[in-house]
Amino acid sequence: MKSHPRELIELAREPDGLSATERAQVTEHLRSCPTCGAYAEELERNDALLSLREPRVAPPPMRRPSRFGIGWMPLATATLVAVVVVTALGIAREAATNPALSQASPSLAASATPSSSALGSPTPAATSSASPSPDPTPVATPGGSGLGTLRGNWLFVGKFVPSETLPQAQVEIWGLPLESGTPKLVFAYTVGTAGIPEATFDNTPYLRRQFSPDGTKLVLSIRGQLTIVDLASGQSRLLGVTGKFPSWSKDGSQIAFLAEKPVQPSQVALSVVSAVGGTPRELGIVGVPSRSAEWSPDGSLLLASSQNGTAVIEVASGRVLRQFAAVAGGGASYVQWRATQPQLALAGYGCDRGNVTLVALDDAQAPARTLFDGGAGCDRADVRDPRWNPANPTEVLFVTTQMTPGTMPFGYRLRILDAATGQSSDVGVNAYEATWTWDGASVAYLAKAPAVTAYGSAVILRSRAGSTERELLRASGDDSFFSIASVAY
Amino acid sequence: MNSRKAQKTIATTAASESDWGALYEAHGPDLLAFLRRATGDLSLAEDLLHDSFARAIGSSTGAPDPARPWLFRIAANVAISHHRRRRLFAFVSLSADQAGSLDAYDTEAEHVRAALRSIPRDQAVTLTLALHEGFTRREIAEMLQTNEETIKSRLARGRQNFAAAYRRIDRGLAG
Repeated sequence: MKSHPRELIELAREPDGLSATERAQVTEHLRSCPTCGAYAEELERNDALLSLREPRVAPPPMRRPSRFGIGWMPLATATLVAVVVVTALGIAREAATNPALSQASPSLAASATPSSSALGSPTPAATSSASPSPDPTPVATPGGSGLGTLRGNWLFVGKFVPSETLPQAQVEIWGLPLESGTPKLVFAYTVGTAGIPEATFDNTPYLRRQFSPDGTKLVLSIRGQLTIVDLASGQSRLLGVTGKFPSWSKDGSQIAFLAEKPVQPSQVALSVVSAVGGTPRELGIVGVPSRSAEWSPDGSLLLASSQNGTAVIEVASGRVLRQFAAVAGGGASYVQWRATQPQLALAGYGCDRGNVTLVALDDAQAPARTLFDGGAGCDRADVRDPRWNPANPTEVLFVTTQMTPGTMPFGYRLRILDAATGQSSDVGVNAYEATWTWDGASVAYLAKAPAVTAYGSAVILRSRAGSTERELLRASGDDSFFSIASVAY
Repeated sequence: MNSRKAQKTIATTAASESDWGALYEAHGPDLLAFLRRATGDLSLAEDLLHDSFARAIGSSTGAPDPARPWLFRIAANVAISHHRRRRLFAFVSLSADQAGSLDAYDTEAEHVRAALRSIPRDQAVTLTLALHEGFTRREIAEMLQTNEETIKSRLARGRQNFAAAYRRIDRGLAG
């Protein structure tokens, strides 16, 4: 393909806009043409902007023809009145803002005003609808109506609902009350699953890092825009920042996120922005576009994954304070950082980087202590998603998966390890991801059925001792659960 | 009067004021959001919403079930035909949306509206129906009484024009 295929790139935004041959040509061209790649990304961003919901504004009261005292008017009369009035209103408004027209047609502009009040008296709703909202603009939710009052212990899970015909899926955030009540859909939105090969999709958010510290809000990247979801109401608002893989600082003040550099698609910048919006500040290039950063408890440091290892970054300066050689394992869920020592549980791996391990560190500068060794080489057990027990400072929960080259990961065994003794035990269930309840008495996990989907098929609550187990929510068809978090209110 | 015409008459007369009120309540907010996005002007959108319902009430068929696609069809055509009339005036008024200070989202949303205002209305309406409202190309083609290829082409040109307009506005060169 010699020329830049701008038109084809535009058509490629449509699911069936191109033939297979044309799509292959575009894909090949994008690999070698940064300009076209940037244009494709621009179109993707623009589609996201165009998809963002207009703030929901109450329409003014319906103009009822019966105000004229003749009941429902015939079509011709109603249309004539509507056209005359709308035209008059339009001219009046335009006259108010255009001196030339105002001078040319003063009588028309003046006579239009009484007509507007004759049709329908102004109401508070109509008046307020034209004013900018003092609150950040809400975005209508595609589904879900929030949780209402937030009390007690809740689990939150992300559900992935793929489309049968389009390269997209619906992501649903569900709230599961643990004391009483039934699971509730909090919020839902559409995500892409295919398209531009180079694109990175933040379409299965790692929920734990994305809650505000009080658990009342969630930050998501929706169509590339950082979006705050209020769990009580299910309403959302845009932060005004383009980014993916956000994580909310534990003091609530900031949100860290990743953003691809516009002219360097392979580079990803780690940035922070105030949790109420504003201008983001770039801390540096991290190189891996698909893992959110983990905040230190005091909000001064971030732990971010890169292709060359895992870095501890000072938020104030962007300086790398420490670099671990091991590449973070387990997708987004490679580390948890808490205030109690040992503070960090960090999973790392690499075919050519030594053994797969789960390590503990008392703090960001302390030496790493191996808790679990998954073996060496490419045929090994991977370690993912370590989570400290909130009620027992030495216990950590994690998942091991068997990695064999050329096959999908399998196994997904849930384990609990005591960092004080180094003893680990297999819980005896297959789990894609798991968390503790806030009293540490139970484990909730996404049950991983072999060869069903890439993620979990059910949400199960199991007592710490394993004596009781109950299913809280089950996915149907190709639906699956991809992330779980525990919140106490 | 043949039987088909009689049915239409019954459908029309059966649509009471309360029926239209319910439809307005159910679909008015979505239609207003659509019209605001497609025209970039809230006040104009409110006018066009009323214009759309005036046409709906005056239709010879009454509201079908479901009414949503039908109402969007009317609103989309009202928006496009209004633009054709409006071009005779050859100037663009400032919208109420542009007044006052705007927070970060308002600024971005206003840039989107401004960019849509500056591209051909049929493209703005088509982009909005597809991306804001989620209608398929086939549904849009039926609404705008054209074919899917035209809609596909309109979406491609609309994306191109929107990209150029948004770039200009976002960089402070227009709007």
